[in-house]
Amino acid sequence: MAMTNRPSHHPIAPPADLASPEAAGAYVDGQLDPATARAVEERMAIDGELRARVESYRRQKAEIRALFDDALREPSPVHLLLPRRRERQWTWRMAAAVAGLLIGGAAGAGISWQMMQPEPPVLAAETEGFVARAASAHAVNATEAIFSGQLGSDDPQVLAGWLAQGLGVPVQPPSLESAEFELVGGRLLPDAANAAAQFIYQRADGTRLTLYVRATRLGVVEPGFKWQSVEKLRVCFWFTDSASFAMVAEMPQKEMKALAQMVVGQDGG
Amino acid sequence: MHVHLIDTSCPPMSLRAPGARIDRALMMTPDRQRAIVEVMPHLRRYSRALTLNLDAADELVQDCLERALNKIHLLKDETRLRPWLFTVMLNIFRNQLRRSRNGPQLVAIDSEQIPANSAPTVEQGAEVKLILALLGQLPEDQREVLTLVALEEVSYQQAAEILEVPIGTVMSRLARARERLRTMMDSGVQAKRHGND
Repeated sequence: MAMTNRPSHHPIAPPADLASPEAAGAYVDGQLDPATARAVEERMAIDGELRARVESYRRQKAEIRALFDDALREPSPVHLLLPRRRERQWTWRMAAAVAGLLIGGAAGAGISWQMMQPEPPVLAAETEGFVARAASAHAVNATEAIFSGQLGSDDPQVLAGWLAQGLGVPVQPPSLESAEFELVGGRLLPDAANAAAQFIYQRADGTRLTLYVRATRLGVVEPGFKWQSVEKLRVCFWFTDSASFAMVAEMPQKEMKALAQMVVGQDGG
Repeated sequence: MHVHLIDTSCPPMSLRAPGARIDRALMMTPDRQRAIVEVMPHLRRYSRALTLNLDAADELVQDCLERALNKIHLLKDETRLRPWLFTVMLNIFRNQLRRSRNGPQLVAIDSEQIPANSAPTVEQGAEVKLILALLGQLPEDQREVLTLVALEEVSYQQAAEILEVPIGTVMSRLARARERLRTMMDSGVQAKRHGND
């Protein structure tokens, strides 16, 4: 990390009193030039009080780290990038933009929504947004794998744990292994008012499939799958009583339908 | 049925929409986007050390990102993004503190709110809780420099730039914070020994 700097490239001026709190602290923080640091160590060998001081400062640092370091191990607080107050009303364009921001990279801005054919929307706006975000999340993921370690995890247990935390409900990534799709990652993404989970699957031939899940029902629960295409991507989506699903891939409809049925089968209704 | 998705009521995803910081965020280079995502957990960690409250900490990070995305054009040197974000967050924290000084205390120190986990033993867990309580007793100007140096391992020079104080002030505040903590830790440990068994 750019800010980590130990020992310092800009050592401070040698303190007048090597046993002072300032000097002991600078020694613990690696801010002394090597010669001064050695002088402090020599003094420590004969000065029990300085030794105790250095020891205490080190323990303070370690305990402060122990207290707050969890923040680095938790899933990235992506939801803190979401607008609030004045900007409560989300459009799918904003969500897509945030998805791009969260994932970073040229792919984020590379989805050329404006190039889509201008046909009137036939879905309810919210459903449309859901499908668009699923497609957008797939598009940035299919080309950008680098952040799967940053925002997500490829350990199913870890993944399930923090996805559950983010979504507020327990969630288990469905297994598509019998169709030779392996779970390779997952992440939490902003979706309208809540978070959505995205599971990323990959087949040996490199084909990627993503499953986008939101823990609220969006549309009318109907039997059967609904289909849309977004540029080259095919989106299969459906709603259950408690969740909304969108499967995204560049695959024949027939193949995707079989996979979607596997997911439904594991969802338990 | 193939339906192409387009919201005809809105212009294409351009940067014209006024007031939408998300659109402004799009103007950022991929490198900058990546850098912001990378620094977020660090901002969150430091905000917890400043506020000592999980909810207040996330609010602070959110405020910080909101302001940073609005003011990103003020950042001239890309390599300064990280310290600049820390400074933005500190300034918001200090302003909030100043405003709350007249009224009731803004942030309650609640040792239950920062989970003292990752401690393999009860004894260590107790110590972590002790340090949390003690940090709450430090004046904010001392806490902000001590936790910055402890958590981010910045050089004193970098700390001075982030905190916008002279390097001598960084050192004297650090020294006072550490001596104070040391005194309190020693008496705290003794109190605990007397309190137990």
